[in-house]
Amino acid sequence: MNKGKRFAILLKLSSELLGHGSWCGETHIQKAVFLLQQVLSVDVESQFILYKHGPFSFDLRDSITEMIANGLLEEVIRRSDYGPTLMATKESAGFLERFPKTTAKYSPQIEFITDWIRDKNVGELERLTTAAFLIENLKNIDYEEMANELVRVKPHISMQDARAAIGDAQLLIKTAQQHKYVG
Amino acid sequence: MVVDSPFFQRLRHINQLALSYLIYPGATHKRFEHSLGVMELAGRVFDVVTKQDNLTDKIRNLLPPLKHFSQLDYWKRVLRMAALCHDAGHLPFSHAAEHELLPQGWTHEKISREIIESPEMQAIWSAMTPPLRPEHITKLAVGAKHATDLQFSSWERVLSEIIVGDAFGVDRIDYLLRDSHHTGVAYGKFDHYRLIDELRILPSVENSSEPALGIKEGGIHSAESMALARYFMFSQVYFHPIRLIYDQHLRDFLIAWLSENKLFGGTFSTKLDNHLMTTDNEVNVAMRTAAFDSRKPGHHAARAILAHQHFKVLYERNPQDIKLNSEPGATIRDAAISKFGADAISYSNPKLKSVGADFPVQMRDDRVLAAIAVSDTLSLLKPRAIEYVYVKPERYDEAIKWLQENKEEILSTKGKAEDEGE
Repeated sequence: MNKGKRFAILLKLSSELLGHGSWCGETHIQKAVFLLQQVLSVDVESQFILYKHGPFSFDLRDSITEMIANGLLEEVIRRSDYGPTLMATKESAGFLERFPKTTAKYSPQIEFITDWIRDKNVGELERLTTAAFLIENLKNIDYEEMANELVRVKPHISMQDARAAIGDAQLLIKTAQQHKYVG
Repeated sequence: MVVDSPFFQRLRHINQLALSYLIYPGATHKRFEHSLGVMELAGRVFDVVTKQDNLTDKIRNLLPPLKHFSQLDYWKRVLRMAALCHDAGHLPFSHAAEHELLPQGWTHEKISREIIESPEMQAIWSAMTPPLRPEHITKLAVGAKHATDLQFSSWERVLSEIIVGDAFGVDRIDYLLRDSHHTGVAYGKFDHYRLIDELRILPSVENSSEPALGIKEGGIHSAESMALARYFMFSQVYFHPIRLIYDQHLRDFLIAWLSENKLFGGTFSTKLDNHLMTTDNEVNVAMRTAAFDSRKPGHHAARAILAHQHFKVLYERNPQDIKLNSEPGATIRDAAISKFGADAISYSNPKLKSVGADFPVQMRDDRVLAAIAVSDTLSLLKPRAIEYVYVKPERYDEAIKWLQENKEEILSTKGKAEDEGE
């Protein structure tokens, strides 16, 4: 996937998230792209590792930085105890018009993920996506072991929240499979 | 023992700023002194952020080593050694074009890791009291970005931020101050003493209590000053158009020189014995030889560097051009190559760095807020995209005229979709 197509997907995603009430900060974009890539097989060629608030991609951070530098995204401060919202600029509309096939192709997956995470804050996204990451990477371990592992890698998350997050992630993956988005 | 090791002594022969001394004559400092500086600063930051008076019970509970003095002593040593070794894998002239100059999948961070985990260095780590685990040193030296196969605990993540972090990494603190001093570009200076004194381990903002490296409100002006220093150093030094074209000429020379060197398969060797033998000195000798012998590979690139006959700027990216074309510089480069030939055109598109304003700030009333919301200065700093297309000096006048007449048509994508192949 070339850079232009990747930027078009990120612009479409940020517009969808904002339009449906998400805070849409960098963490929201990071986690949404992680779910798009891992659960819905939209390959934006970002490598995710467990890092800041769960799955995190340095490649994706570089893309966001480049989009800000190019005037496609802007950072808008809305609350002092939250990081900035990433908003598509007016200028980005012309850019997006040049990628009609890309946005049409991935719109169903973007809308699915938006619907799933639009009202989640950073703490909730951290739990959900870390659980999804562990489900993908730790095969053949049971629910309780998975919850233990989640607390081990993220010690600020309680056992109760970890168990709930694994259930949520399993439901998300199952629903995506029912929608036949999974490649 | 570490400083005396051949891997560390090699850094005496690796220029910190590549060929920048051709523009800023004082910029002849080496990775050696930078690495010593990073070690010293890392120790100072560690002492501040782990001081018991500077911690809350919540942070102590999330990061257990903070409660055990013997563990703190161990980790301080690990951090200092990681800081010392973080640049050990750098190629000659600290060259950034690693994907072309190293075998696929290799970076200088990966070579640093090989060095840290080599039998020679393992012997040194084992002889320390207490012995240090190479894996711990690797994690802190290269960070999660370059050790994706290793899982970082919250504690290791915070410690790696001390060295490689975007906001307060001591690698960055040292190179800004040191490069500013040696180039004479005074914009790069800031009060790092105050900055370090105010650093703290804080819970993140945004409904997550994950610990991160942050700063007290009293240090916010020092943090702003550092961010501005970085902004100006990138504009004035690191992304100076002539520095960037010298980098391209050097890359062209290295590719030609390495292609002649069958032993290494056309790239720099990743074998540590060969790495030890390859410094700026060997490249300088080869470059001088090639510059005076037109039969040698890389003759033209070597000549462009040593005779100061570098290519000239044909096009500099303009923020307005992105409205016309998603990759304006690359589009003009391709058109210019069609018109003037690949030998006459060069292109630079250095990788952008984030502003580094993503950190928590502890206010005087103990609230923890996002830095960008506390500081107007940080909120206004934006990354700047850089792209230059260069042309051979002999074709400059002709090329400038050609671009003036054709630029709009070259960049225009009106009515055209850019994702036809989708």
